[in-house]
Amino acid sequence: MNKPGLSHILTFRNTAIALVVTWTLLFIVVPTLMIAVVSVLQRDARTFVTPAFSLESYMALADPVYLKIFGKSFAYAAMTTLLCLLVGFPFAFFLARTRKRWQKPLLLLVIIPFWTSSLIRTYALIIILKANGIINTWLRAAGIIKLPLEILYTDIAVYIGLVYTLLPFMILPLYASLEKLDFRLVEAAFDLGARPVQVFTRIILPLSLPGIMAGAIMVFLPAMGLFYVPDLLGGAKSMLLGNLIKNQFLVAGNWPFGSAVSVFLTMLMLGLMAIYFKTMKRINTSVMEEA
Amino acid sequence: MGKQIVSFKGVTKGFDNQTVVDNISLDIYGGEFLTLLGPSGCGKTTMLRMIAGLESCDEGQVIINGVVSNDIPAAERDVNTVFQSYALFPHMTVLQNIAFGLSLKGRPEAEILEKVEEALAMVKLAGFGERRIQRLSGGQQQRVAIARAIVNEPLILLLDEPLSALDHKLRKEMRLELRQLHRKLGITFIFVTHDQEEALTMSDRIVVMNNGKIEQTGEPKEIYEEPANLFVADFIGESNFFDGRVTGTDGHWMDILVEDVAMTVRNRRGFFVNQDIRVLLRPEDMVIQRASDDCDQPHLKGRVEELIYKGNTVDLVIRLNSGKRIATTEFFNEDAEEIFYAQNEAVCISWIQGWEVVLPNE
Repeated sequence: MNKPGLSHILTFRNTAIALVVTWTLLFIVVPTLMIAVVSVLQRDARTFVTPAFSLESYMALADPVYLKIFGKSFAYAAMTTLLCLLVGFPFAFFLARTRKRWQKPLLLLVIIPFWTSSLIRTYALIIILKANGIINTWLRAAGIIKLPLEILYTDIAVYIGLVYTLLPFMILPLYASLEKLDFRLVEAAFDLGARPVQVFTRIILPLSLPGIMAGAIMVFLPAMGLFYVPDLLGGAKSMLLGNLIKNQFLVAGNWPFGSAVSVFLTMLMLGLMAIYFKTMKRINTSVMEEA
Repeated sequence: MGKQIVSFKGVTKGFDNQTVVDNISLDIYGGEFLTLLGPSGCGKTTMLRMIAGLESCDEGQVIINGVVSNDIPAAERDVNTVFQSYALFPHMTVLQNIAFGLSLKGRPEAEILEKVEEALAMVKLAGFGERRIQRLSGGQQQRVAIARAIVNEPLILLLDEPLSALDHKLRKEMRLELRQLHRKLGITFIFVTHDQEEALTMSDRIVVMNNGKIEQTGEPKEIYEEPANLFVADFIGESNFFDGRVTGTDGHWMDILVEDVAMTVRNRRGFFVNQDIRVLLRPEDMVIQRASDDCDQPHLKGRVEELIYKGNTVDLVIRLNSGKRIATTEFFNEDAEEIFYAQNEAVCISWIQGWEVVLPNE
């Protein structure tokens, strides 16, 4: 029998690594660097950017008009995160506590939406939410309402869209952390006299904190960037940082400012990730490490 | 013995159509150290969990301190458990773990701290309050689990195989400490184990379980010396079983044939003629003599197959002439004759009359 020689394995390994590195460099590192470079250049009406150094774009970030957008964007993202947590936690808990053979199919239900582009799914939401859409047609047919409910092009529609799109990102880390939760600890708490609410606040919640944090980050950051959800469901109002960035590039033609907002968003993400990993490290050295 | 503190009345419990506890009735008395002993899956842990309130029963009643407790949730029972896995809260310090029960009851902080210190001292962990659980050894975690339970001053302490995760030496130490703790606290301990040595050394009373039923209840000595049936005889301690048959009886005595050797033993269980029996003898009950004409009568004949020197005893594996192998243990005694035998040496095997246990061959 022909055994693959060590040199063959090494060649395969090096080729595989080289491929991944090239891909990452070409499609992630280079574009990111381009954005970072553009953000410190000057805008030009005809060629979009001129190669002259300027911090103008970053100064503009402090403009009250934009600060207001940042604030609003934050509020939307925070509210979306909270809603996802409220909806996702009970589901993830149920999922983690259900029989093993039901877990996989249920998990699949969470993942199935990923198979369709979220843009297309957002268009589908329009059909459900619009004045003569599915919800209103049913409610009117059932005689519950006479006039159609105004859902589409309101904040409610935007929240529905954001929560719907981002919910799996909350459920999956929550499930991963709740699934590891030792239910015997819950029994021990009951044994020591804890009521259900106390078991939740003192045992389940603190022990699922890593999952809650991971889920929050995975919902909060994309929520600020999902420009097409407010665009399609909230009317043409620019509400999120993502809308601002898109508009700077495609409408206002201000590439340096659009880039600066992008860099800001990336920095914010890095900051949150740093906090997350620091906290995780602290938790890991205390909670997770079983003796 | 105090009054009944826990009573099972016709309790049955099943999981997935499989009966785990089968119509059990049992009284446990205040202040005793009772052990539920049996192989895994015999229902002993389920019994414990029904007392704790972590498991409901399908039929029957669980009465705790005179109150039918079937529907009383675990949190409201005056019972605390030391879990097999310890189940210590990993996000809390030793102190926070032990204080958990008292703080739920809303006791003042000063009182909690005082009681926690007391409990820590009781389990010999004074000064460990601020430690993280992960920084403790298995033995220390075990002690924290005990402290966390006893600090609540429960009526009954339940221990679910608490020593099974410890190494041999530590396990022996903890047996002694648990006994001392039991004496100090004066409360009822209900201990679950599959380790017969643990059960024999620690308990006031042992309940031997198998297949969801109680096989025998009694003091350790009773269980060991007078096993009620073959299961108990086989499960507790080492035993040699000999098949035999009753050839004649007058009600008090009976003639039996064991390994083709005739002998007369007491008839304690109303055995009848021609009944198949099994004679049980512990290795330390056997008397071994070098084969000669002076051997005690009656005796079985065999040859030494293996000699195992164990320091304070010498264990022999003997193959009887019938081909059956038996184990014997002889203690060193300075007055005794030489108890070392050559391999393949012919020996006579007998025992002190009355030490045999005769059981029906089921």
